[in-house]
Amino acid sequence: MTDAAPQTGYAPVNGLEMYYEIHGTGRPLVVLHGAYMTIDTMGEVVPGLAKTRQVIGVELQGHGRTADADRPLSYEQMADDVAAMMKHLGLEGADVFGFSMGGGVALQVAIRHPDLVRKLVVASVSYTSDGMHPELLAMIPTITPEVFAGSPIEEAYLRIAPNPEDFSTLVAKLKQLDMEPYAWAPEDIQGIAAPTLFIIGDSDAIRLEHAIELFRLLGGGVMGDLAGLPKSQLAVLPGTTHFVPPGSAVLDRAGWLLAMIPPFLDAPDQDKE
Amino acid sequence: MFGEVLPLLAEGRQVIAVDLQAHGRTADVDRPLSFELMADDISALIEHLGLERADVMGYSLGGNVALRTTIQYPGVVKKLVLVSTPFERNGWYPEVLAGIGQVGPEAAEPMKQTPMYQLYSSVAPKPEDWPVLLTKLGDLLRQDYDWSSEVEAITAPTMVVVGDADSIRTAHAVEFFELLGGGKADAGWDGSGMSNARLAILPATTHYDIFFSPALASTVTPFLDAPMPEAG
Repeated sequence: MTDAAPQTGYAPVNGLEMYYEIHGTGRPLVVLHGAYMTIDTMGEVVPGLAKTRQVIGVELQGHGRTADADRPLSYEQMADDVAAMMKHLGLEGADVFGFSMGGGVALQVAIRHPDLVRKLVVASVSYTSDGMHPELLAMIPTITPEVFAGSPIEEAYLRIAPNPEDFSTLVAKLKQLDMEPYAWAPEDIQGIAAPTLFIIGDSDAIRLEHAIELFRLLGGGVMGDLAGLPKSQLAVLPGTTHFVPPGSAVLDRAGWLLAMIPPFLDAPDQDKE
Repeated sequence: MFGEVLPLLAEGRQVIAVDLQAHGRTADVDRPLSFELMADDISALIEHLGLERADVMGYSLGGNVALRTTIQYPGVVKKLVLVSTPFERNGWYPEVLAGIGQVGPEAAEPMKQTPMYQLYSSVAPKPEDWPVLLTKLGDLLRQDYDWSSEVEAITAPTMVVVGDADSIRTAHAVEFFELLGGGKADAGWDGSGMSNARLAILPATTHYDIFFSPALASTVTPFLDAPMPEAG
């Protein structure tokens, strides 16, 4: 992904052998992929970010090169895994960027392990399951392993997963995760101390009303010319979807993302620095 | 005032910047300031310049004029870009409305210390009209309006842009986008669920900053450049 080969390894955390890759040098940024994804499928934004900082890409339980374990997928457990991995690598105080499911994990890392996170970038994320458009929620039960046949997602899994025959298990566990209603306490979101940049497409899987509510809980939704800029920021990307069709997804907007994420991460954190 | 953004926009297109009635180099005439009348002016200007149809972009009060131009002259506007523009008066934060209520001739003297007056007095054909401009602006800005039903009928591809810390409520920008046909559903596997409306919210950006932000040009330009069905 970058010119120099990344440093790769497996961190023994919570019964997982959790795969990671380290690209670039500088202030550390942990990157968490979305459901069904791998580090590689995060697109041009990861190598772009690695030009100005150290990027630690992680593969979550049952994804990519990280083998599954005998437990369901849950946001809380995945957040604990990421936190343990960060401690293992000495990354206390790192920035964290997560997309979609990885954004939910990033929020839970900030909620459950506040001392580990300096700043947070979350893209296309909801903090309650009804933040998603209802027709997408209704579609989840119809997902089968077969719908991924021949897709880049299946191809990547079969190529790099330690147990390629587990793809159907991953699909089953992700369906369970996505069908299980959840609603994180607004106070938990409000209690996130890390300044947060929240990014969403204008045609994303997440309802815009939900995005506005999440932004408000993060301290946004104020008139900056009178009140001053809040610690959290919101970006809505025009003409931009969650994941498909190719070329129009949030992660395809590398130019816009790389114009907003590094300045947000590089700005002094007024509370802590 | 569009100092930094205008040259960026002009890199790939012809930009016709306009001073509205009683603003800048355009002298006042004997009529109130109204969004509807200024929209008549813009339509007439487009015709005068032989443009027939043009993309129209407006900021704040100019966005109101651009929006009225599209509503009143749908054949004239190809694509519409509205920056920090509410479609109804209560799109502004309440504290902004309280401030707007104070605009009037009594503000003329104190406002002479502001960059706004310095700019006005340096180019206005009759700088002594400053209190008249403030009187007419105050009268305009205190009038209630709600153009939601007309916004719903707009067919021109329209982009709504606000800052995340704008003087326009963030939720109002979403409501605006939804009136235009956006945001109602996921885009779908093939993107067919996407309407011809666009919403952009720029991070760490206020009402005052937004027109100095290079991100405004990089947000708007791809929308103006994209081939797009002109009705839908």
